[in-house]
Amino acid sequence: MTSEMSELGGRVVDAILAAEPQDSPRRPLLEEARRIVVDLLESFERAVSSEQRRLRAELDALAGMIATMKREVEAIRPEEIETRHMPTVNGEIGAIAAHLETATGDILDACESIERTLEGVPEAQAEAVREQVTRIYEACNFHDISGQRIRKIVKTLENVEERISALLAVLGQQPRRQRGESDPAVAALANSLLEGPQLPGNGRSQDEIDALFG
Amino acid sequence: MKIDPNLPILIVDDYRTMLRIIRNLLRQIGFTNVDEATDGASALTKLREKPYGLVISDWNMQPMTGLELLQAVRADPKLAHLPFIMVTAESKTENVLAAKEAGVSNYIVKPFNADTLRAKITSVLTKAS
Repeated sequence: MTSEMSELGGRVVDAILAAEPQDSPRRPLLEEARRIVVDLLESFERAVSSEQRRLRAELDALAGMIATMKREVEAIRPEEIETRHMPTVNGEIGAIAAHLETATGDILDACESIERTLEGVPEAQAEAVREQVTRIYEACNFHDISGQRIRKIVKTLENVEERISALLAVLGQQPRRQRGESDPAVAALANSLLEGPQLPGNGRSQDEIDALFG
Repeated sequence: MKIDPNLPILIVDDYRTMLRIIRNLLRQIGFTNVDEATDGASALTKLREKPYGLVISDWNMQPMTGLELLQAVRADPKLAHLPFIMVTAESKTENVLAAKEAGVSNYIVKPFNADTLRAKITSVLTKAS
C-alpha cells in the first residue's frame, strides 16, 4: 500500500539519489535506504490508520449510546416527573402525614376521655382499663416513627428530583423547578432529620443502648 | 428511693402528638407537674426561667436540636447537673455515643413503652440524688 506519507518519504530519497552520479558507490546504499524509509512510513501509516478506525468505531458507539439514552429519557417524559408526578407524590405524602396526625389525635382524645370516665370506678377495674389505655398510648408512638420515616422518603424523593433535573440539564432541557423549590409543607417535613428510625438490624436496640450506658 | 410526683419535668419534642403521649404516660407513671417545649431553643429559655428536676427531650428538632440543647444545658453552670433523658428514634451507635459524650443521663430509643420510661426516670433520679 502506497500512501501520501510514504510517497513523500520516497520522493525525498529520490531527490538525494538524483543528485548522486550514476556510478556513485553510495547509490546501492541510498536505494536500500529509500526502500527502508518507504516501508517504515507505510508500516507507521497502517498502524495509525488502524488506531483511527478503532477510535472512530468507539466514538460512533458512544454517540449511539447517548442517542439511545436521550430517546429513552424523552420517552419517560422527564418534564412530567417534575411538573406532575413529583408534586403528586409530595401532595400525597403531605396528606398521609396530616391523616396520621388527625387519627392519632382522635385516638388520644378517646383515651383521655376513657381515663376521665374512670373517676369513681372501683380501683381494680380502673387499673385494668388504665393498663389497656397505656398500651394504646405506647402504640401511638407509631405516629412519630411514621412521621420520621415519611421525612426520609421525602428526602429520597427530593434527591431523585435533583438528579432528574441534573440529567435534564445535561440533555439540554431546562428544569421546570430549581433545586430546593419543592412543596414548602413537605420540605418542612424533611427538615431537621438526622438519621431517623433505622430498619431492623441497622440500629441499636434499647438493651444494647442500656449496655452502652453501663 | 421515694420520687416526688410533683417533680417539675420539661418535655421537649417538635411533634405535639408526641408531647401529648409522653405527658399522658408520665401522668400514668405518677408525674403531673409537666411543661412542654417544641424545640431546643424554647426549652432552654424555659429551663432558665423555672427550676426543673428533669428534662425529657427528642433529638431531631429545629431551631435547636436535642443534642444542642443538652450541650447548652451542660455548659450552663446553673443547669449543668440537671438530669436529662434523650428520647429519640436515633439508634445508631455513633449517635448514642455522641449523646453520652455530651453528658446525657440516659437514652430511650423510640418506640418505647411506659415501663422503659418509668425505669429510666427512676434510674436517673436515683443517681442524681
